[in-house]
Amino acid sequence: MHNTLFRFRDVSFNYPGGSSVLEDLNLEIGANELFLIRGESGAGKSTFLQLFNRFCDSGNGVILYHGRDIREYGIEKIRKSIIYLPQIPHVIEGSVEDNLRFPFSFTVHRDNTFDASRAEEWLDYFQLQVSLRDEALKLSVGQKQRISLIRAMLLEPEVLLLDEPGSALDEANKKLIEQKIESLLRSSDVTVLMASHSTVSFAHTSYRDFEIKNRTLKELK
Amino acid sequence: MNAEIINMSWLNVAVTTFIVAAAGLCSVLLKLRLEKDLLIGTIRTFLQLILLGYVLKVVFAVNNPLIVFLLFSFMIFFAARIISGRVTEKRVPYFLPVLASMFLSYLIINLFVMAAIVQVDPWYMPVYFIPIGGMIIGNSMNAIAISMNNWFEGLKKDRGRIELFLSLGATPVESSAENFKSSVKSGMIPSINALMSVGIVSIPGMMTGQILAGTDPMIAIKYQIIIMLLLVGSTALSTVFALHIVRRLSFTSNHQLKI
Repeated sequence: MHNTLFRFRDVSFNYPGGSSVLEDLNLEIGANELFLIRGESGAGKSTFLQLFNRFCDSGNGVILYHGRDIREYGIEKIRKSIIYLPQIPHVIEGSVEDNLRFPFSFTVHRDNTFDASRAEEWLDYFQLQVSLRDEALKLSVGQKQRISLIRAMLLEPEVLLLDEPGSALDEANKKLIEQKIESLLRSSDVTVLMASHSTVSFAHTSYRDFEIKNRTLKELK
Repeated sequence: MNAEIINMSWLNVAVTTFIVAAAGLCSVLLKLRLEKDLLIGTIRTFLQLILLGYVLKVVFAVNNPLIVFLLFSFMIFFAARIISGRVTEKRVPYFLPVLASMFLSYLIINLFVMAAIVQVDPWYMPVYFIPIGGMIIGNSMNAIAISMNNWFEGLKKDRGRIELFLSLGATPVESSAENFKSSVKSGMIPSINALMSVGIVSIPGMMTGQILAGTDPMIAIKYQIIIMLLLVGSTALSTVFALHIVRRLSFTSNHQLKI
């Protein structure tokens, strides 16, 4: 077992005035783990992931992050170290470089600076045959997905929350992303939580496999 | 100048209802179904303005700062009501904060005009305070409504980008900086455009009124210039104040988008 990064104690979530989405979750997630969450669409996978970066806040129960209630950290600190990537990759108008550079203008990242050569290395790593000057809006969905991942990785997060990264991609692109995530886990300390609607193929890395069903989380193996 | 002012009798005023009747006839012939609205609108114009006339007569005669202040507050309250009727987004409780920001910005500007420009004594002299205040309120009310609609539409349209920025650590202010700018602009542009066209396309309403009432056009234009410039300033100030508060209300303390 790795060092415990997150611990859930009886965590529930329901939208204000709405019905309950998740109930009484108890689990632990270790550092540098790969944590898979499966489930039908609408089962609450995105909500579950968004509990970690506090896009959603648990109504009941406590989420401990490094042993401390996640609500005790400043929201900036959480968003700096825990990055959520939505299902549909979003790029802004401008070049690939503009897309990788803009987060560095946020106050929370003021101690980091954008390093173009690092960015080029990441482009290579994700097998993106694009230049930093290319127009980002013209890229394919698969390329945009990888740009989003690079954008996150340049900020050196502790945790990546990937919301169905393969859902909009063809088989080849999906496999490529999964391979890259696997090797990322081995070459860095990053912890990855990944929601997935379909099957995944992680051949070389051990991962924990969970399913969200009937508002609760169940380990599959 | 100073030709005698023609004080029309109520009979003269009543004759103009014939012109409204012509509009009503068009409505009947073309089946526009506007007869009822025309009738109600005409009656309301008479009643509301007669009431206003009496209120102003009393307020001008009493010349009491408290009463001036009350009337001014009442005007702002109704302007805020009109704004909340026009802004389609209902999930953000903006009424009271916007009311407060309108109140603050109009008071600052109106006091400045009274004390520094028109230099009336006492500063609250209702003959000046109320009409100038009314023009400021009426114009920037439109500006606030336009900019707030622009703001909320922008948030909905750019939700993907804003949530991306938030998820990468941006504060609400950072994530919506562009939207904020474009909303303030959208509120200010009509009053800036008015600066460009004034006097070429039409004689502005206030000046028309003063000229009809016998004022020398050279005096009337001075007032008109003051008002035009004031309107630019007051729309800017009040939209920035109001949007500043609305922006805070559009996000939760955990940097989540509310709408």
